Amino acid sequence: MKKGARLSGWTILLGYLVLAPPSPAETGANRWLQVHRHFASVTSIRTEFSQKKELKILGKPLVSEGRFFFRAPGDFRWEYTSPIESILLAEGGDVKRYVKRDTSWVQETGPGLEAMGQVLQNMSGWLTGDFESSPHFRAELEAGQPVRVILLPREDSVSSFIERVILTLSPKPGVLDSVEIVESQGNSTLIEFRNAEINVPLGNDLFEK
Amino acid sequence: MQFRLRSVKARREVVCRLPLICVLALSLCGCSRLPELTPPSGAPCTEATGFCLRPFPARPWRAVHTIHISGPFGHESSVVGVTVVDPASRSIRAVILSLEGVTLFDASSRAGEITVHRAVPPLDRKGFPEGLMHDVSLMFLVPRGTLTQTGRNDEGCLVCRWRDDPSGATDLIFARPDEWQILRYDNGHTLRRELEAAALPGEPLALRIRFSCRGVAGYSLDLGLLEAESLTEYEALFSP
Repeated sequence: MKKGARLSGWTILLGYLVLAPPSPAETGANRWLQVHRHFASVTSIRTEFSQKKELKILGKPLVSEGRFFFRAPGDFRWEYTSPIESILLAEGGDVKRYVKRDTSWVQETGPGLEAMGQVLQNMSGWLTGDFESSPHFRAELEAGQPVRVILLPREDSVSSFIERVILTLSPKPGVLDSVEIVESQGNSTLIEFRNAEINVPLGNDLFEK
Repeated sequence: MQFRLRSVKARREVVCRLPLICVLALSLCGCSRLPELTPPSGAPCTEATGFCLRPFPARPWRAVHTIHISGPFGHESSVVGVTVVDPASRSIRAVILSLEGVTLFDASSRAGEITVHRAVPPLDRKGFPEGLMHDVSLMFLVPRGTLTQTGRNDEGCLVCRWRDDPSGATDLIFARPDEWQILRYDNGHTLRRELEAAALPGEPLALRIRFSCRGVAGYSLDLGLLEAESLTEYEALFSP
């Protein structure tokens, strides 16, 4: 490629990063490269979230509130503050959940926890910009703004329960605006993040109980 | 001679063991008696009948509960339950969500027929839908059978008793107007399920329910009511 064309292409990519919609001339690989760079510098995340569950039989969405902490490569603290107080911890691949019952914290066990461990494994990849190597989902980058990554199940065993996952990237580097898990028409969970801070120091005690 | 002595001794041993054998046989067959009520043949009066229906809303409703489960082998887990009930037709739609919002189980029960819309393992195991619907019915629907007796137990609490032969019997016990217990007995009068509930005065649905299933694979549920509402349009809610 001639030098002039490279400069022109770089300008187009810079414009994409700021506000402009992606150029038709951009290749898929270049667009993915930009997405990866969006997350490349992330070593930790601290954020609040609202989770809204839409279900056909519900009159209005079921809303949960919580906080989320992530420390690369795979330490996770997913904490609900309402309506149930619970903490899901993942440190070094070890997954634990604690739920508050009355005034006591109870450690939960059972087959559901193993499934959650696999979900967290996927999410750790997403949070560091690795969408393509998920064993359960293949990723497609949607054109336009805001930038959205669509995750589609690779296997029938997953697609029978989850139709797709939609990740919406924030203009702020390293941050997701939302995650939407679509199970079927009229049945979805939307997690919206707010007050996100990246690369803040997170102590080990956050991921222990 | 020696043989005759042995025979007498053997006969004596059989006779001595006979009461023990009878006791063992009775206990093995699971024959129990329902708790006695006073008066013993108290046919339910109109006033008592109304009181007996207090825990069971008459109109269609929808509710969301937090559910803490203590299962066999020490398993502990928490989920969110969404329930739609039409008492007149005894129709139920029950949905179980993980805390993260994933739908783990979704089924409807209408005219005695259960339709599973969605079930994530291990909630897809055989017998689970039937067991779940049975438990939900026990918590929220008027017991099956006939209200045959009202009276007081030996603690002085008002008891309403339904019998649905040959399946069993159900006792509804009031400690206070807004606190009750439901005991479900099988046809051998063995206690199989029990629940304790407490509601706010005048509120139709219990605020807290503690439910226990007895047996080798027993479990208990602690339900906390998050929200509830009466429904005017509900037919479509029982379809997928």
